[in-house]
Amino acid sequence: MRLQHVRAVARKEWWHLLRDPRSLALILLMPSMLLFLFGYALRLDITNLPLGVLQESGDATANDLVARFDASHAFDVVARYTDRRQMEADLQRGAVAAALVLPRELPRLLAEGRAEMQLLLDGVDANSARLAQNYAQAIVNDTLQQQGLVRLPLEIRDRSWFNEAKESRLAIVPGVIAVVMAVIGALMTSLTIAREIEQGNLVMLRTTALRKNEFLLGKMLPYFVIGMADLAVAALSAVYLFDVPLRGSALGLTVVSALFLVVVMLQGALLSMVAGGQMLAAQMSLVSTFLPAFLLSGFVFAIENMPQALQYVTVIVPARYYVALSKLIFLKGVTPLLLWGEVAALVAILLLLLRVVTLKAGRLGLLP
Amino acid sequence: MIEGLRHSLIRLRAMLGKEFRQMLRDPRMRFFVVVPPLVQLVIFGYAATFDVRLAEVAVVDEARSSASRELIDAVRATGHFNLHPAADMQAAALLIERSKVRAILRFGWDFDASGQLQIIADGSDSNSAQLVAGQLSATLREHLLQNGRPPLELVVRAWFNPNLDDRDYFVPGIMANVVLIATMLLTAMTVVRERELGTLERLMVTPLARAEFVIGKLVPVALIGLFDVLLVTAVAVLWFDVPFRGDPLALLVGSMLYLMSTLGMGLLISSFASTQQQAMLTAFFILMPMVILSGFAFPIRNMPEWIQATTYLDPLRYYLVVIRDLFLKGGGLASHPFEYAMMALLGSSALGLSMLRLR
Repeated sequence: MRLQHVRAVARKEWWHLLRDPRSLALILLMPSMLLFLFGYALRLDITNLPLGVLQESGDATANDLVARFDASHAFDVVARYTDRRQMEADLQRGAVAAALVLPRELPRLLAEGRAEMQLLLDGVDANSARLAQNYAQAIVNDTLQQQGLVRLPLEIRDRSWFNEAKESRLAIVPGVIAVVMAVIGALMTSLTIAREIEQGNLVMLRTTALRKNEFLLGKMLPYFVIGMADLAVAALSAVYLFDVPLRGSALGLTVVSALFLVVVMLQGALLSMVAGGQMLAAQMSLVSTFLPAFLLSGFVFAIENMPQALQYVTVIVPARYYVALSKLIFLKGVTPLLLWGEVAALVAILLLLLRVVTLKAGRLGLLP
Repeated sequence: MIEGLRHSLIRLRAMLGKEFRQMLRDPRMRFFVVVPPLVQLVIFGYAATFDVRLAEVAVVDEARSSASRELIDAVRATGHFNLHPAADMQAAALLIERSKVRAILRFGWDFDASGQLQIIADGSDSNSAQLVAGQLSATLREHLLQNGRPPLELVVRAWFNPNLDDRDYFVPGIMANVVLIATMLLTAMTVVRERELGTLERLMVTPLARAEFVIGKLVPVALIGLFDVLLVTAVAVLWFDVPFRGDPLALLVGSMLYLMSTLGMGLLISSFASTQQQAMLTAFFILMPMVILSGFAFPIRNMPEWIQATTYLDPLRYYLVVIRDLFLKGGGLASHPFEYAMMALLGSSALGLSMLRLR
């Protein structure tokens, strides 16, 4: 490995990047855009769910219940029905997402202590429906308790550590950074190497004194710099635009991110050699980095809720470890060494990929 | 006139033949039409669930009374929680700090007198910890109410998806994503690939007209898209047991209108890009917001108003409404005239614009 050679390849690649300002702008804007989108769009909690009410009885309890549903942040009473068929038609076509039925004999049955009321839900969006069910139950419980109809010998106090106001943007930032880094790192590396393969430049390079490690390192160096710049953009906009606290050390975040970036770049290099062309390389890196970083990293969906077999698959998803680590550094403010297992896993994946990439490069005979 | 049309068809056939051969010659490409959609389907089908299956929860029982023990047993009996007894709050805090548990359930030493208990969720978790905390308190309430039946019971019935299965919600959406990723990326790369390899200039000296060139490029990709629709539908219905209650014809029409817009956007990207790398980045830059704003995983209803307004430009949004209803609610072509019209509008504008650009 001669540094001079690495530098020459890196410089050539760097010029190539600078010559295309549009791509560069896209790469640097990507983290902010994603943070922005996820920050505003990712809300799984329900607010103002359109609720239709079929109220057959006009007694105080029923009126009180409907008023409470309307006043809650979860529901918004948008329609009142007198006809059950009309209500069901609205639920069918999606004009209301939930419907509450208060029967005529509610006061009498309530006095006898065996009243029922119905909540019909549009179950297509299962998560929202489940949340609606929980909120509705809570509203009913509160009403009964306040009217002295039921006494619950228990008071539950809810708290949320590290994020007292339960603001989802605080929790998603580490995940978004993982997605951005995975995409940029793998996509850019795989495309740049695949282009050389596609255009047959590697054969030409074989006649030079360049070794394959020098070539790979030189190719990846500029993209590493850009990836780290992306991290800086993402972290700065998280802290200054989105008011997400960086409670841990910036150094720890940088080191862990650098490690993750190298892993995804090696992944990209491997994919480009398997694909052999840019079109395929792009599709492969999208499917094998973006989707796992989004779905299998524990960013949106908890890993422990997945089937056992899929949980084993997540073991080889690097984003899984990075999401855990960056969450820790951003919000919990502890040293990444507390999660040494995750750091070790990233290092292990890195070494494994390095081995496979050099082997593959040698076997293909594509690289000098 | 007729003679001209005949020649045009001959040229089109030649162009289509070339495109198909080019695309299917590569075994890796054949592999890629089939495998990624299936991988996405399986991952989504199994990974995308908000249902709490087995949540890690730390328990701090300072009261050590029969009442607190009874509640802990009730929580354990549901089988949804894996309880970690912690000696004190300090030990529990360490567990939550290391992300070993999602939440802490704490019975204070004066629990018997005050009836107060605490549930502490890990707020660094976007969603799952809140779900765990919610389910914990629901379980506790339910257990306490079982002793005396409440005077008013809420009977909940979920239509279209009675078991509230997340899979029924996500699987139809995957189809939209699979088709989007496959077709938009392929189209985005097509024209620019010919340009980068220098074959575009060679095609320009042939008698091939612009429209013939575009049709020749788009038809094979559109067929791949339709193939993926069929593939995903088959696996969703046969393997994942997602119902398909609607009219298959509506699925075909909706998918074709949707493909018009994904192909149009891909072509537009391709007409602006000078290298494949640039095309890919641009495609990705457009693809991400399309997916996030479509309501695929995060309900549009919850977004701020001004973001909701931008989602009207997203063809994926309309396709999702159409196919979710086709799978779960039923109905046919007449159910969603607005959605079909919007997809047609967006698709034809994107195609028209890119035709102008490709002059």
